[in-house]
Amino acid sequence: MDGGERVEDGEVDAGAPHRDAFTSLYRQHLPAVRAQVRMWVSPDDVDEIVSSTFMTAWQKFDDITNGSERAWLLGVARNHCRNRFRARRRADALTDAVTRVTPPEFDPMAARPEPDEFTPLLRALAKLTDDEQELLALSVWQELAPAEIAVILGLRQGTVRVRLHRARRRLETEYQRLQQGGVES
Amino acid sequence: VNGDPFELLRRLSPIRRERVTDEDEAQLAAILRGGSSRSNVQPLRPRRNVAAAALVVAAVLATAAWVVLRREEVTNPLQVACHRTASAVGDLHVVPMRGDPVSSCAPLWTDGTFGNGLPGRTPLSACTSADGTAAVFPGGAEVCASLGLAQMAPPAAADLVLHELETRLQLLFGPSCIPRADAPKVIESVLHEMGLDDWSITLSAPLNDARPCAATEVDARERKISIAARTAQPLVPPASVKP
Repeated sequence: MDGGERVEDGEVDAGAPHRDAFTSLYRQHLPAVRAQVRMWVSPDDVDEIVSSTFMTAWQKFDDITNGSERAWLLGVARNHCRNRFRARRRADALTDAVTRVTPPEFDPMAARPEPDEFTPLLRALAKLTDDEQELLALSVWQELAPAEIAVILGLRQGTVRVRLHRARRRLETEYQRLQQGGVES
Repeated sequence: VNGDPFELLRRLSPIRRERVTDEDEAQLAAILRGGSSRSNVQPLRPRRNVAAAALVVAAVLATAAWVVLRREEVTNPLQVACHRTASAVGDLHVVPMRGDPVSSCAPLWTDGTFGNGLPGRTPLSACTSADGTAAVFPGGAEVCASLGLAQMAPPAAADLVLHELETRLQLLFGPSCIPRADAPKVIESVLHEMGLDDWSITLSAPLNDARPCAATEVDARERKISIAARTAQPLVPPASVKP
């Protein structure tokens, strides 16, 4: 079912409940969707993909399952990226995203890591492949379950579990190794 | 924190610094009105000169000649991108792969999602996109080449149907104990839903008290499904079904 009932050609009357629910969905998930899309496309294309994603969400609003809104939106966003931009994913997307977190924009309520703390993390992330970085972003930042990630990436759930496990182990190993070896500036 | 890179990574999430701006609110209002305040169509750049245009045409023709003959298998067996028009940037819906890509997308033209059906008797064609996902467009076999895509290789389509069949059977017969007497009807239902009415069903192993549940074996070459007997212990989870 579409986001609203078509009452006349070119005119959509969705009704207030739909609009309110969609408005809530939009405001709640826009930051996460935009943050993820920044990892998939170049900065100039982010707004277009985000806009297209939420237009699709409005058109297909009743298809979105309660509790899996973010995964649904990210799946649509990735499809838009893939089909319009031929997956121009940036190789350094995740490390670049972390690097761009500057102190003034960081959550002031959260304990901020000291530079020495996250230098090895950045170096460890840089050792991971693009796919591993993408998996970690979807798992750690987007807080998605392997089943949801599997739908977004078009992979089997078992495959996601295995790859995610490997990515986590690799990050842990690299991180510990860099910590033990001392942090270089 | 020192010992847990994931906690550190979590705290560095870029989502925290994303905000819903006034521009975003304007975008929301535009979407609710049925449009978008941000253009989603990139304007084409005018050709600077004839030589450049000629070069582009030559390159396109050379590419087209190659892709006309090119067939590639899809590597994503779960999804198919259905395009409303013969354009890679037009309206599209991504749907689960059910059987083959064309059959998966065809309902979108009959249920009103893509308007009032295909013009005339326009066929649908399955191409393989750059990332290995099947993409279906209205048009004949030439539509893939015109979009710079490879045609979807027929063996892959057959594999996908087989995979779908195996997955469905595994989902039905793996976790549950279906008595063998009920198995033919269940299998017939699956075959009918997938349009595989020419497949046959046979009984292979005898039933006994130790093996009261039905299991299935798919023989793609003979287009046959054998019903075997298994113990009441559930089989492997469906997620581990191999393509």
